[in-house]
Amino acid sequence: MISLAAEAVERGLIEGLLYGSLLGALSVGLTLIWGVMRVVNLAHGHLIVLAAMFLANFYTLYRGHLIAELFNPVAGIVTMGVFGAVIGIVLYYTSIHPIIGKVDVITLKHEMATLMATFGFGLTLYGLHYALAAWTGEYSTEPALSWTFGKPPYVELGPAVTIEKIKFLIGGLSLLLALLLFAVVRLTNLGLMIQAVAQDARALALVGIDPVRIKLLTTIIATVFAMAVGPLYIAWVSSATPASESIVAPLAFVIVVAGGLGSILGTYVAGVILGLVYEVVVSVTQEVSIALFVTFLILLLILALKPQGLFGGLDDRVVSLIRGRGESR
Amino acid sequence: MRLFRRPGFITISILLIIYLIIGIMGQYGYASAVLGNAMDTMMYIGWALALAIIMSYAGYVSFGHAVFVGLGAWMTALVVMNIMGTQPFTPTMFVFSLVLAAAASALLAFAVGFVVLRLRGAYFAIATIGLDYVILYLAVYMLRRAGIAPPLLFRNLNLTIQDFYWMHFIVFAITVIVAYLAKVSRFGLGLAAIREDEEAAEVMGVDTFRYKLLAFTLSALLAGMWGAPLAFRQAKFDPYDYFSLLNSVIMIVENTVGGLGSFLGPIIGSYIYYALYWTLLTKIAQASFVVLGPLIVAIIALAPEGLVGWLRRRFPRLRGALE
Repeated sequence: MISLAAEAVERGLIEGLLYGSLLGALSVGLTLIWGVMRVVNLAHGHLIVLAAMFLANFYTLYRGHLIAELFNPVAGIVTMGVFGAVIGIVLYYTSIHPIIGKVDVITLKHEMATLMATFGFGLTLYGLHYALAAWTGEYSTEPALSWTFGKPPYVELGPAVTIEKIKFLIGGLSLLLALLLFAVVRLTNLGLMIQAVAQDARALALVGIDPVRIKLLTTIIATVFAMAVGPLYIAWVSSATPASESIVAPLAFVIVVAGGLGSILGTYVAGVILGLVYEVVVSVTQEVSIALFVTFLILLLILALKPQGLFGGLDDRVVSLIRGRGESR
Repeated sequence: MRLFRRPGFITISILLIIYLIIGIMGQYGYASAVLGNAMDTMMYIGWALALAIIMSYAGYVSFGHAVFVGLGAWMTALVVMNIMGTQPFTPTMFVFSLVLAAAASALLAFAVGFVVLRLRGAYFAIATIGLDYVILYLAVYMLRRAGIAPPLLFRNLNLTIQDFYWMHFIVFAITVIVAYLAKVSRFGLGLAAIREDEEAAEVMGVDTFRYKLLAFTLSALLAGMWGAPLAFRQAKFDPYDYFSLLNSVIMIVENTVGGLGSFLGPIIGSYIYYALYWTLLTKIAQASFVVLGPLIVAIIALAPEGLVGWLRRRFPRLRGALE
């Protein structure tokens, strides 16, 4: 059933670009907490799905009231971001602080311990959905969100190629989120401290900055950015279950590794490329399983051949471009 | 014969004798109510010990270990439905499935481990998750191409619950004995050195890469074997179910709760998980993760050495008995 028709490829390319933008945004929070702070956050996917499902549930529940607009996919970015700050504090003090909440170098053993602890935290979030559904009766574990944007809600690119306008909105907002995180981490003083704590926490303490506080802030920022993307994710896929995590999280890990650990723009670019590959394969073969097979095969190949990632140096180059040649070395 | 006096050997003997007695009683029509539970616990212990070789002995967490159980089940499906497509069930069919499942899993683990185990840290964990998805979607695609919407249901083999029980028992015995020998041998000592400090182990002359690769391959071989009794018992090959990350989660939880670095840990962890499963999971289903999740976080934060490790630290006199 392979179709190489121009429409199929064209549609695959455009949707892939937009979906890839979303995938990039889904992964930048992970590259911050894992790549920069060395915490392998296995709860990342659960955080995204939590935001997505809360949004869809509350939007449906309060439909017709004014509060519902707090939970539309655009305003929801802010709502869920704020909520993410709270969850970030909980995540830090339950799962990360007991292990690396000291002024110390993070060793491999700590890395594995945080991996297990965040894994437990993620499982808790996973169970939370079912617990809420059982206890309240009004919470759905399979919420759907039907939210359209613009009139007509799609763009006609050709006789057989239509793409929903909301997908363009999602792609654009995803790019903005990724750029925002890049600006926070690479262009502010806080960002400098975040990078410093990963390199040498003791040296940071010597110049009078509390590394533990920076670790807390990093966790909060990473969680905020994970949960802020949840609304965009549900707007794209339009329905989610707690098990959606098992699609989101592996993709995010693939993209972070492909982009180069810790490189925010590199991760975003890797997301765009993977989105393109995925959508073009889906569009051409009409088969989701083969597209996912190809995606994860790419991960294994990158891990085998270039584990340092493809675009690790992108952030530095862009920073020196912005700051001009004078300031960079 | 120092081996026979070791506590681990006694543990194995007790386990095998108990499950043997249950099996013989089942054969004569008694104890049929507990046969299912006995099979479940054997499988959970088997899974936990299979993962333990790489996770608990060597300290490398494989998050996608269910891939080998699934691959084993896939190979079993191939034997039952394609290779021996019309023959009635014979023990040869089971042995053939078992060998093919073990060989395929070991081969896959060797190939992937060969490239990924050179990397430290989380890369290995991530790679095994990726591997799980690669094989899952490959299986789904192959089934679809053959015109089958998963799951693939087996033809009727006229097997009884007693037959399933002995299948489980055989694989259980192999797993327990191999996992124990891997722990107490020179090989196990090398793995323990890697777990505690890989650089130091390397300096002391442990060929770390070879040890890790062998551990991963052995661990995959045992996990792969478990695919065969599982597929025979459920009489189907269900990729979404067998490759599910939930199965990997179960193995990891059992090892973490029981205690890393010991032989007894995964066994005790399995019983605890199974008890929790019966009291929680059957009643409140997935909401039970609200209990299991914090349990893992608490264990990692408070007693990272798990239940057995905690007992060993708390009661030094028991140290000899808890291997």
